[in-house]
Amino acid sequence: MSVLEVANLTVAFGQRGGARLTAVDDLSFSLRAGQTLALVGESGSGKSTVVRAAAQLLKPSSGQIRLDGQPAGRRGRALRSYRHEVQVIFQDPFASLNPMHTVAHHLARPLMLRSGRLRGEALDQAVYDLLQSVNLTPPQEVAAKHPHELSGGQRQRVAIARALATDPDVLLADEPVSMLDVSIRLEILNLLDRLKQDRNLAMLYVTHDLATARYFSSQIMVMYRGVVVERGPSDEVILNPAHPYTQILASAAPDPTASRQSLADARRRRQTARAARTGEVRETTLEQGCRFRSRCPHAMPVCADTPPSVETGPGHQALCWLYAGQAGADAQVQSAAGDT
Amino acid sequence: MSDERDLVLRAEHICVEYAARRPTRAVRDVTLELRRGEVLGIAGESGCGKSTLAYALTRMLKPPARQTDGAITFFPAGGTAVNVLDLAGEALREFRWNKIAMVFQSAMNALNPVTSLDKQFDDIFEAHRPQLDKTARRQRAAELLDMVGIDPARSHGFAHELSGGMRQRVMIAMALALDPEIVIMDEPTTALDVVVQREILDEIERLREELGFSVIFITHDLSLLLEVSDRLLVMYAGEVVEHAPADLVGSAPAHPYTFGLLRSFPDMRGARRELRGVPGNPPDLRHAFQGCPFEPRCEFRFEPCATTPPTLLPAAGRPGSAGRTVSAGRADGDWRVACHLHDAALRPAGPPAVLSGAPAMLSGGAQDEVTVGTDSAGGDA
Amino acid sequence: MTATNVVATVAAESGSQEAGRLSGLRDAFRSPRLVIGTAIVGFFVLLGIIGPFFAGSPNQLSHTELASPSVSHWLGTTQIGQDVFAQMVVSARATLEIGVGAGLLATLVSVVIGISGGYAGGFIDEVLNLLSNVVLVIPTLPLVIVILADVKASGLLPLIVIIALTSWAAAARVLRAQTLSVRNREYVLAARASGERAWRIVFVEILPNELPIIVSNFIFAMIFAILTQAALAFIGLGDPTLLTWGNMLNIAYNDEALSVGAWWWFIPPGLCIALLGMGLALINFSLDELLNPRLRVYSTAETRAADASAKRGKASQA
Repeated sequence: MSVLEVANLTVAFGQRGGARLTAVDDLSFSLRAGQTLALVGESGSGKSTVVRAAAQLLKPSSGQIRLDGQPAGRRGRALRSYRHEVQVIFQDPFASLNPMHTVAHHLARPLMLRSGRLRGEALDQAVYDLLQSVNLTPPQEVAAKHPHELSGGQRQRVAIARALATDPDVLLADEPVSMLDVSIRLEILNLLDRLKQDRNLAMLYVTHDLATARYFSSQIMVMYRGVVVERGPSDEVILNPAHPYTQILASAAPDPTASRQSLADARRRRQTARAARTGEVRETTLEQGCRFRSRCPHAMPVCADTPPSVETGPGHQALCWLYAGQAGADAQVQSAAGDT
Repeated sequence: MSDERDLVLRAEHICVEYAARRPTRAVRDVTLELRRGEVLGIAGESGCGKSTLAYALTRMLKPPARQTDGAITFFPAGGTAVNVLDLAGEALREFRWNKIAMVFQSAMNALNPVTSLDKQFDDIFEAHRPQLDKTARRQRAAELLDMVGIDPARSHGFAHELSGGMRQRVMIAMALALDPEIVIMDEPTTALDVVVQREILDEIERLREELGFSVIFITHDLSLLLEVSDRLLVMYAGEVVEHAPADLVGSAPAHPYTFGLLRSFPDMRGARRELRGVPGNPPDLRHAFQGCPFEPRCEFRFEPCATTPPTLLPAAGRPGSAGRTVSAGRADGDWRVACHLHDAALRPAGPPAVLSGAPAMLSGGAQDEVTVGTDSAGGDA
Repeated sequence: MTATNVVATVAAESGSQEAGRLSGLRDAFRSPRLVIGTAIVGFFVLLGIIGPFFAGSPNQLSHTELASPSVSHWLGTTQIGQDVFAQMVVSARATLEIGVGAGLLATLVSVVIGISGGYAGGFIDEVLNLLSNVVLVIPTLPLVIVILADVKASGLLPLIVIIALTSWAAAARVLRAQTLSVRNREYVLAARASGERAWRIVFVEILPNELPIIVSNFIFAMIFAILTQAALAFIGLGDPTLLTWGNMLNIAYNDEALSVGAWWWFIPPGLCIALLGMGLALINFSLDELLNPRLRVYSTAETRAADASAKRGKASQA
């Protein structure tokens, strides 16, 4: 059933001074055809590293990738075949296109790589068809342009078209709209969603924006410093966040329906909570135990041990001591009564 | 125009152009007023001219950008009005940072990476408060850092040793170093994570309550502005298209662009509904527009839009517009929009329902419940 | 709606962008540095190509030795009666040949070593980088002198090869650094993700983006080659039968032109070397402006007029 399976992915970088930075720690997920899995996290959470590892653009320290049930090819023809099936859309529309080449070049190359026999007019037509599918018209005019002649949104559409050129089964979208103007983000996300449905693609949508993560995916994973702290159905996780980090993320988002007074009250509550805390610690070496504990309002002594993954609802899991065993039950009652 | 006793800054008919073979008119005839102690938000996307406007107000425009028209007047507390464009030399230096300071978008670009933080504070004091001796300067720097929630012991360190949020707080501390009357913030939290952003905003609000400066807050994040500002301007293609009180515009936008922009921020907790932004692309500012610059992307356009440029009019059906009195307790009922839909002469029936000021038109309701973002066969679990 | 709006914008922009690129070139020539530099270099190139046809014979001996400039000998004569002007003109060709030849070869070597090392990474990069650093650290001129003193071959080609092989290292380092940076750009990653082969990525995706630096390196290598050859010739190394400005200086010096005061013999070749070097340097500097639009400061007729009237307006207000 799953098209792409990533199991126990770990990516660690050696740093100067010997300390190792684990950007991704024992992460597993699977992508199903026609469905989107959202990966939510902030900068430094390791989400971009996950994309690059899944696309085999960097070598993980450990872990397995399976495509259509078979181990992913790692070199030569097998690797190239993997690349055709698993495509990436990058975050920066200005950097993901080569300023020296035309749009046609960008699209023709992957088309030719997929089917070597495509040449001349047939190739041109294939390029125009691709541009048509991402609503860049008239395709003949757009194909002749260079990236600097297009707007950010148009470039990102070209990037999407390029990703589709090899007729992939999997799309890994790394923050595809966060560098675009706000008013065109939804248009691009709608386009991606429609293409996914039309072509029955399996999609990974990486973002820091909870709202679009909820609307454009059915499943969601929340990452913090290389670890998935919560996962489950999108509506569940967003509307009933279990992990304290997800709760903070959800509460930090602007609430257009709140009144001025309730906003001022919330602000005062946050300020008192912040004054009570000892302050943010910048850490690169906190490998043991729960990585969130230095910022967690519910931190307990047991958090120095790596927390278990606990089921908090149907298909909904959180990596947190609050929900595990006796201490979990008590803490759960407490946190339901109080507020963040 | 408002009573001058309330104002701290007034900019009229500002025009800024980037010289080139085909000049780009980045700011086109913008007029704004900043009241003492208020937060004025400026919302808009890339290319709308908001940052250029901020640089014009602080006289920091560099070639090829030049201001080609307009007047800027500063009204200091307890002093006489100052024509900002006439300032030169010593007077200009005194104006900058003493009276008006700026917090830039990317702290890593604005902070000097090779000098320590206290040296950078020193620079400010040396330039503007030469009478302070070294100990006094260090003490003031420590006070400022403490004020923004940074351990003063870190002042000997360097910018790269701090996290993004802390760097931005240092920027804020530097902006407040000389106790200015106006602080302009250009996307101060955009590069930061949403949690840190929330902290920084809280910090700014607390400082504002404590020190009483006025703020011009520039960002593309309209939903944020709705929370933090008192009034806001929406800019498009170098012009002001809507000027409204922040607490009301969120539920009742007057301009189609504001409407589209609001719609681009889906409510995370809301019911699933069709998600749409604004179709099309930002305009090319090298062109002179025949009619309304937003017309190609506007879903409510009608005949006059392509041929006649709109001017700022009172928004139809709002408190403070023609024929209605300003209700007590509201800081400003002045609500203006540059859109022919609100021109009773061109459209006697008034603007379409969603723009007419009746709340609850924005969230779902009349729109069809076509859900997007659900996945095809297989569902989940 | 999206489709039609995109059409409108694309159509509107396409007209302006084509004009934009050509006019970029036209605008570039507004830079006085580029104009002067190109003029100087162009002049010498012309001199080198067609000069020899009308300048007369550089080697012809005559009995008017050490004569100061006159109608029959525009730049006077040497100690054995040769026409200095003719020598100077003919020398231009050899000098330029050395400059272009060594410059090209040095650039080629630096491109191959710098970019391969930068893209390949790992062991290959380590080795190539070490090689570059070693060659860089050895002082060039003494190295060339030592090699030339040993090698008995004469003529242009050995000179070109030796100069080129000792001067590629700095450029290689720069290109390696540039490649390391470009290699991680997302369009290169995207090309890899599409399954492109490495050599194609280097030639098609990476190299075009480094052209500005490569061109700049080439011009610099040219200057260096010309000056090096002049220095070598001046101290008597290289091929003494070649007619270059450097050789002219050497002979003039040896034949006591300085003490005799025969300024027409040693000043013109020295001036030529200096001018050509300056012309090339000017082009190199103005390349920056050409390639980075932000450095251009425009002053169109409109803005000048607007500024003038603004000044007048202010004056009348005061």
